[in-house]
Amino acid sequence: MSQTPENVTAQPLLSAKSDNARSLIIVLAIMAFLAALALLFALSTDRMRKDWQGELGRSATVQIMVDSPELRDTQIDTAVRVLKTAQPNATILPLSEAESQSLLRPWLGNLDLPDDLPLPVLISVNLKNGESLSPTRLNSALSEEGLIAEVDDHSRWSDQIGRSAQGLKASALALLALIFGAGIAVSAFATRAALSAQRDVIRVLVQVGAEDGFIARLFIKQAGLRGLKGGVIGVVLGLITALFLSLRRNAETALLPDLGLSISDGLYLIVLVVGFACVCALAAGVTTFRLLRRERRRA
Amino acid sequence: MPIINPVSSPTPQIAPQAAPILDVVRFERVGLRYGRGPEILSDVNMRLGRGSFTFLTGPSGAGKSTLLKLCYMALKPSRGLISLFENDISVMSRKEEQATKRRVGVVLQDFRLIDHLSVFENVALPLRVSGQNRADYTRDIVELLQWVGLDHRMNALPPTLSGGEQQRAAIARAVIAKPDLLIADEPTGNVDPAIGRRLLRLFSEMNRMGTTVLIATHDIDLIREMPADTLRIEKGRLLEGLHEGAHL
Repeated sequence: MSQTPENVTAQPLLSAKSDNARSLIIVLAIMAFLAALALLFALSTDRMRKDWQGELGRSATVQIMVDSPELRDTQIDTAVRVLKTAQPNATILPLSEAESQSLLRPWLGNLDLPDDLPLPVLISVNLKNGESLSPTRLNSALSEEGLIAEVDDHSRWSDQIGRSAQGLKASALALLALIFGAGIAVSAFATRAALSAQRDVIRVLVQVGAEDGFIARLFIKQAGLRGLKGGVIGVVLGLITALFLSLRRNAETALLPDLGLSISDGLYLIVLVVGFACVCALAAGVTTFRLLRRERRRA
Repeated sequence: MPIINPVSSPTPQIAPQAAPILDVVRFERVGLRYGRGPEILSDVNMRLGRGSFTFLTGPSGAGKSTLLKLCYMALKPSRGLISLFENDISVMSRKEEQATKRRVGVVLQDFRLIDHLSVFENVALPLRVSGQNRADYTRDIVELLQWVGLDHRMNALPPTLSGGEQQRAAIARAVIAKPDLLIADEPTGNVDPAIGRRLLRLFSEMNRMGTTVLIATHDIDLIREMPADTLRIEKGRLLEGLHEGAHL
């Protein structure tokens, strides 16, 4: 009995059974998972750096050396007045003696400090957004009132944090680049294996007049789809891990960047998946063209 | 129709009112050796004119399949000139080479069907490669498969087919794109005489429509049934040629 073609669309010319597609997708998924974590780490580190630098940049600490305990309140009032005049929009907040002592606890422990231990008065200056502060100008103004003061605008800490965070971000991006490099190598290796496994198919295609571009497109599509599958699986697993770590975040891990997600992170992850698929496809295309050319030279 | 033989006639003379004649295949002093080994083919001079139907005969190991391989560019000659459709194959770019291959239908003894593709998909291969739409060729393939008696097996995979069925599928693939040159290596070797005659009619019909046909065969009955030119090859040398289209 006469039949009609079973498939409405053309069957794929490359056999999926002839190579280790599943293993390859698993490897690509693991790489995409690591890439996603590296990317989220880089993004979070950058975000954390900006937050910290922003906070430090909007505040300053003024340290007043008190001549004698009797003059303490008077000197604090003078300093607050000077600071309010200089920074009218800032919130000026002198720390109490107890608060000042608590700041020493990390260094001295829970010791009862002697009453005559001269502790400087600390005044916190919190600026409004967009407001700036000149430590030199403030120092002069305070000196003019006879106060021995030191204004710390935290720039030293801010720079150090910035450098550390940049280092972490650069490391994460380098890791990301390495993973992409490994993705290229894996895809090229897999394409080489696939070309070998599909040698008979290619021989027939060449015989019926298929150009290199036609054959390369088959492998590009196959590698791209595998990269996409591996990428999606890896990134989804990376997202789940990031959310889990974010939920488990506590005071002890507060110094580590929060891998919590923002909308822009989601966009970056989509770009990562697409980029990963493109890299796999590109590696497959280059490998196919190169091997076909080599085969031709050999023939 | 007279055909100029540039090998035997150094000053070709063309009849003034004759239509230009296309040499579909031309071999001039072609030799082939593998590495430093002896020549498998020596000084082969041959021309197949457009629309000719030629049998290539000779004992096993004489070089028939090798000669065919040179004709469909699976091998390159060690020396001499081969031109297909009046184009020297030694100076063809890769693109031109593949474009030329698309004008040539080939039926090989080992069929070379792709195992994971159905018979329909195997036959459609040359059309897919040349970028044709599936909707445009589906009907043609179904008709051709009816002609070769494989319409009931079009969704089958090649490993499930008999040798004869595989051969017919390979023939259908070779002719589906209506090639200008059809090359077949023992095309009736695995089929019963009735199917063999039917396939021969298919080749003949294609030839009538303008396809140049070159068939390598041992089958004397096949040669007797079809009034066509015959080339004989022995020990890598072409010995004789009967006309009109084929020339030594």
